[in-house]
Amino acid sequence: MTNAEIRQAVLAIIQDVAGLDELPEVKGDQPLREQLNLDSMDFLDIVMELRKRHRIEVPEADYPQLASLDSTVNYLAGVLGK
Amino acid sequence: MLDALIIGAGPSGLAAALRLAHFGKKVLLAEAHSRLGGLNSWHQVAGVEISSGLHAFTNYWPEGGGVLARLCRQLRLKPADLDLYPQSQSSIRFPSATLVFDNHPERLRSEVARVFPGEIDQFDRFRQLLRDTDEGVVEVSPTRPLSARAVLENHIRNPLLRDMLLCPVMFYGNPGGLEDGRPFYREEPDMDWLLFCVVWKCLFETGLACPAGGMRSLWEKLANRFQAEGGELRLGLGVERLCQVDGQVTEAQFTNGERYSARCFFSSAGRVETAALLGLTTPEGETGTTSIVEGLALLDRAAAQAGLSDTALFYSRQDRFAFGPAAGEELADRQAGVVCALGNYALPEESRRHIVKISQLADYPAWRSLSPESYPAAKQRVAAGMREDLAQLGVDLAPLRERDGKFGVFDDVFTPLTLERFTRHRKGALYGSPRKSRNGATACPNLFLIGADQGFHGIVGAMLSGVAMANRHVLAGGAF
Repeated sequence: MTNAEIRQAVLAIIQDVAGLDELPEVKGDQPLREQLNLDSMDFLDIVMELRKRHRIEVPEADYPQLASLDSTVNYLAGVLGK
Repeated sequence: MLDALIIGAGPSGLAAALRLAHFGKKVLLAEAHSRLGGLNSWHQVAGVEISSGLHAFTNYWPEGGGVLARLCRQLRLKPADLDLYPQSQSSIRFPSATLVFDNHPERLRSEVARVFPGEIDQFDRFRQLLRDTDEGVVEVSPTRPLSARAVLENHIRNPLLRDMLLCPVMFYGNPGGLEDGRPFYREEPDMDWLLFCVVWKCLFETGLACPAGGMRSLWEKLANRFQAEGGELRLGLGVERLCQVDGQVTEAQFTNGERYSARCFFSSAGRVETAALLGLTTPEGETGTTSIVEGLALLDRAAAQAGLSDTALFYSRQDRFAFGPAAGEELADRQAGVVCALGNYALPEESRRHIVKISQLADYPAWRSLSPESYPAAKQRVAAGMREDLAQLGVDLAPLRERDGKFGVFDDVFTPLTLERFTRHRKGALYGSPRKSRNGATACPNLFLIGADQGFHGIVGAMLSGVAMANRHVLAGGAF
């Protein structure tokens, strides 16, 4: 997956998890939590959907890497590139 | 082998099942009855489908937020899927005063300021305390419950106001029963402070609403989604026993002889009832004592035209509120009750039914001791009392008698025995056990409680309970 594809995939997951009608507009370098009013249950869901849709395991120790959209994309690109 | 076996397809079981199946777990959802919904199921009266047990969805948030929004996100539901319509207004009516509230918390505050002007500062401090109390903590289950009455007495000086605030909270969520050997007095009713906070916030800080399609459409939607995600739903499959090996539950045996093994088990049958499935006994006081009789009237016109503009009317015939059947009124306590006019929700005209429900406290042992022959007559006597009580509250049912059976108050009241049959809660305990298990833990490390005895409240709370326990014990790296 290219970084642009990863970004789209993550946004699609956030759209479903946050129950939004369309893809959210997100500032890539700002925390997702505040921008979209997400709580810890929602973050668990993002991790679970990554596993379900893309078979990507995010260990709990790496959850802080998912703080913003940019950091999430960088992290996932690294995981997929291994 | 199943990943999870879930006992009971009420709101908590359906929600837990859907969460787990959505994330690829192999799940069996087993319901003893032929219908979904548990306490919140449906039945037919005179050709009209009526949601049973249901007065309201609590936690309604007009601006769309809070617990209800969180629940929708977790179940991938849009709030519009619930199709909820808010209440008009509700009242707490005592002989010396009436307080009106609605889905805007400031309404109750202004009513307290109007009726009890000297108490408004205390009331504000009490509300702040409630807001600062985190009743959602799942990490700790305090062994000694804190007395809600004691907290109220520390804040509110006027005993009438105290009792008026206790009344609706008790009716919508006091399980009754013994607390740490402290008896539950009818004359000085009390409940756990954390549970009081949960119910208060459901009732007064958020609000009441009703789904236009009744409960059936929502449960069917959840069940269809669960099955589409690969889950197995079995109706008419009642659990008889949970078998243990080395302290772990390994297998459920069903009344029809079938057996299923699973990695973990979730039970909405209740704390005491789930322990019994393991062959364990629990102290007598852990069985809730709050049970009710509920009568139903089908009006031929809007409730407001019959004298009832409230959605829910909580009433007491005495200024000193007592919660529990008085001596001589064990079958139906006529000193206090709740009347609910479902037609007073702001529903679309086509789904508005002029249904009035009246609920009164009842004593389970008194109903249990009736012979099969005297049971129908007892129900008729109770229904006759309810007619009188509705008339005293100003609800005019008189012209209805002339219609041929289609409208009117029905003699077929719902009793503690009905409750026991449909919820599996022993003694028809409406709100389950007084001892809640906030983290869902039981005597076995792979068996978890969901629903009423996990400690959230109402339909929304029960669904959130299923979601939270599925997350905690399975999805967030819990059980396996």
